[in-house]
Amino acid sequence: MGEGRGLINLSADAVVVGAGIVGLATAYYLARRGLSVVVFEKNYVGGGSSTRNAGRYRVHFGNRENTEFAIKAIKRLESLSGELGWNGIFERPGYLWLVRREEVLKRYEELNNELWKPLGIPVQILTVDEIKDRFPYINTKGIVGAVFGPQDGAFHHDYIVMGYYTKALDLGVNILEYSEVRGVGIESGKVVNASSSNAFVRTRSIVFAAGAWTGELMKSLLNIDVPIRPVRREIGITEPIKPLINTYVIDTETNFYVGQTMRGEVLGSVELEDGEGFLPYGNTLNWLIAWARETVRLIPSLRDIRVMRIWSGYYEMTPDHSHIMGRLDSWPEGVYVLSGFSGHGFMFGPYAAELLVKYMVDGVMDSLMRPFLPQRFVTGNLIKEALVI
Amino acid sequence: MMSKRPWVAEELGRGNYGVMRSSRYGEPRGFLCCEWWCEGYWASSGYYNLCGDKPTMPRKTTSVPSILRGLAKPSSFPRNRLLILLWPIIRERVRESLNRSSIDELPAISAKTEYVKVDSDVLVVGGGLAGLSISRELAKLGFKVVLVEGEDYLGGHLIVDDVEIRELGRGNEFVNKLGREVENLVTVYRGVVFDGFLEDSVTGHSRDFTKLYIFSYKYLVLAQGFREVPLVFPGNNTPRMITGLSALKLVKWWGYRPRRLLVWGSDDWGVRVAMNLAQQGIEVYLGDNSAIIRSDLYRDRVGSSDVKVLIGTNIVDSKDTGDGLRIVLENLRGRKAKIRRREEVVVDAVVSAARLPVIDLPAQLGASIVYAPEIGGLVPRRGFTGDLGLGNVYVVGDAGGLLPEFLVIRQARVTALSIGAREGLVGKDDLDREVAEFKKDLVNTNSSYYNVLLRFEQGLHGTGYYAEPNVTHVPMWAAAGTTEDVERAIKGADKQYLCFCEDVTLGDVLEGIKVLMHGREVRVKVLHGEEEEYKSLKLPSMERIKRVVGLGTGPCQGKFCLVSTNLILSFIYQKKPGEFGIPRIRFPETPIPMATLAGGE
Repeated sequence: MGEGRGLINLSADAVVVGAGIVGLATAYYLARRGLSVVVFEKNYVGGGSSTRNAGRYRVHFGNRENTEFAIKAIKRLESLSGELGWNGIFERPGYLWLVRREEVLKRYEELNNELWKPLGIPVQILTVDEIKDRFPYINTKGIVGAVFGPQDGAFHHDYIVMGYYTKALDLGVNILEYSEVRGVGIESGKVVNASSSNAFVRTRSIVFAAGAWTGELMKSLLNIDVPIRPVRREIGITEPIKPLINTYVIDTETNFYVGQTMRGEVLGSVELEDGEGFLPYGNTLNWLIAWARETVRLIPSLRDIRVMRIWSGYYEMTPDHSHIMGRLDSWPEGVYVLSGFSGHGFMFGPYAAELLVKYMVDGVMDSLMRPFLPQRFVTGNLIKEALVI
Repeated sequence: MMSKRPWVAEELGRGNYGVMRSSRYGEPRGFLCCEWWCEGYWASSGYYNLCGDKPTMPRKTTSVPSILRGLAKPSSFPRNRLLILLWPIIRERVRESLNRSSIDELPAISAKTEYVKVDSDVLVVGGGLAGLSISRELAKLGFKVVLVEGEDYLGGHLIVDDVEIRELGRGNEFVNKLGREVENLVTVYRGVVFDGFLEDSVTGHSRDFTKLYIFSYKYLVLAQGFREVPLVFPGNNTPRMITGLSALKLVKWWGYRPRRLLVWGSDDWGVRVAMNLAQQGIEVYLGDNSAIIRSDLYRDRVGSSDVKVLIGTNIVDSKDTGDGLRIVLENLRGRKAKIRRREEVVVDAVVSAARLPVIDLPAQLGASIVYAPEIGGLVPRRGFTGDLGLGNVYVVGDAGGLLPEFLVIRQARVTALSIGAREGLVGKDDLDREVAEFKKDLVNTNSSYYNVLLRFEQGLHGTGYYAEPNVTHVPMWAAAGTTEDVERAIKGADKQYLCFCEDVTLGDVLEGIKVLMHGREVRVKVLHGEEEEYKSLKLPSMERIKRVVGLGTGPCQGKFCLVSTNLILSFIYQKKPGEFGIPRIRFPETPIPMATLAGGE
């Protein structure tokens, strides 16, 4: 690694790779602890998955580790508007999981009794009549019951990204857009610099928060394996109408989901198996038709509504659908990862960033962080899912 | 189509120009556009078929008291401390206050919908002069051509144009005849909207929403022409602004009888709009901020017509007085101007003939969009043959840059021969000869036309050897004008609406830029010694601006605002339009109902 000829020469206490929600939050919390930070973003701020998601959060997960993490993380998330000075447009319309098989409903009940109730986040198990009563727009044919999580909610991703962005700038974080990370300099097992397409930074720490790209980047730059693979998913939004869908509806059999935004747009998708890897940000008629059919089947009144816009983005999947945070002793000193959120990056990112920063700066590992260390892929001690929800 | 008098014509007849209400503030909204692609804009406020005989409107419209307007502004709404504090209490009210239709008010979609597969050698999108011309040429070469037109009629803008056009005669006669000829030669789908591109399909849908078309083609020709967009001037949200094409349709087909109109835009089309309206006995003013009438072809004819000319002026204020729109115009060149001219006119409405090439589809396909002020601002980069360099996609006519009609016809022939040559149906010599003729005509008409296309072919489009934005076709905002003019115009930024779907003003956008620049004030006036710093100053992209203020996120998909905002910002900050870029244009071009997509029943 040369000394950065022709590049902007900088020095910083830490470099963060990726200016999505996770990277920006990490940069902000590092800066708040007095560290100088440079952020490399290969595109524009939020250009990856942070601005392509459905903007929903939940505390209910199919295992203890994620649920405990979520309870804390969501509390943090919901407190952000005031702290960041940007309105996150938070609301709690809840999540409604529609169930089409009795045995699945039973598993939910068990999960509620064994996990969610004891943790103080009970869900309501609804009968078909109760569904009809509370969510009259749903076609209950084939549905045996539902699980309603009133603690779950929605937010506006763009404003939270902007909040972290402006707050980070306030603290002097240097956010470089269109600056793609190119190399990490290691000397005697320690990080000494990091460079991008247009900058060279002397630093002792680098945090990989590059979402779906993290696995590929860490492999190519440092030959480190973190099992994060991109999975493309398509999503769409309709023209706005008066409020109708008063919760976030998920069909547990078809992986269909639908909700309504504050502006009135109906947002949703049906998740089809798509190829892996960095497929282009495109859409398919195959998906579009499947989505429209599921929408009309489950909520017949939506047949007259018009699809306004569709797009796609990547989930950053790990083998146990849980994020990876921290570092391994076998890695060069100063290399950290905060990624692989498997679709929960916006819900968990801010809190996870705070915990990671605490670990980086104070060396204190929060007990909530421990299950998510990269160590688990070495020992094979993965997070077990009682129910994929 | 010509017989049924639309509801909106009745309303205008009784002086009600504010037929719609904005979604955010609920104030009367009088920008009127009676073309198929405007449906998205209407839908943002819950209106449908506004120019049909029975439009759908929200049962209940609300309005925000002016005292709360400041809080609701797109630029301050997400950051207002009071709103953040009160959010849990007020969010339901905010949600309910937006003017939208409820689900049961939406126009019902037929119970039966179907998918229709359409195969072709060449698919032509757009049935105006360019699309018709190339369809005829291609059919003559033996291609199986399918033409898709969003309107229920062929002929595009010329359909209502009675003025003599060089080498064509009367526009409407020419295009009517051409349309009939083409309908006998190729398969024509009228009233079909082209949706755009998916990975596995290219689709369209019928405007009655009963059919989803799935197209296959070997070559694609984009001939979508130009679009007239809302003018941007202080108080342009005041009810009373109509696009040129809509105004002509309203007057000629539906008996709208205004006494006085101000037509803005003095290129070929603008002048013809003015002359057409004057022919109908309407008192017409023709305004533009150019130094002279832009149109080379009609400059002399305007002088000898009844049209009153207000060239070299900007609209600095406007107000709906109830019985007319009072407009104040001032000449350019700022305070230092020796002659200060101030005019006031009262008109029934402003007619926007500010036109921009339709670049959505090339942009969606990933063609590079470049800045060429000579031919209309932002255009897809293409060669003399219209080849977009994407393999099998061509652009003809105004969608590829605004050219006089006889050159459009000429280019359509070049493009057809070029496709023919690729298929071995046309000899290379024949194509070369035709291209040479086309080049000669370009040079003879206006050498800058030739130069700009040459620049595209030779790849100099990005080098920026030409002057900084000299934006001729920006709605109202002029090429001419000093820093003082810009500073003065920006003073009214909060009253100049850019995005009519989401009520985003120029002021909101400038504020959004300031936020994205971390509070750094970007001054319009650059002092000596600051040039270098200013040049290296990187302003935020339109993609990010969009995410801060919601510009272009309504159901019209930014058709009304994205290009004009880009050009206006480039002009204000003296940056190249490419530095701001335009946000990614997504599928579909125009909203499609779920029922149409789901098919069957």
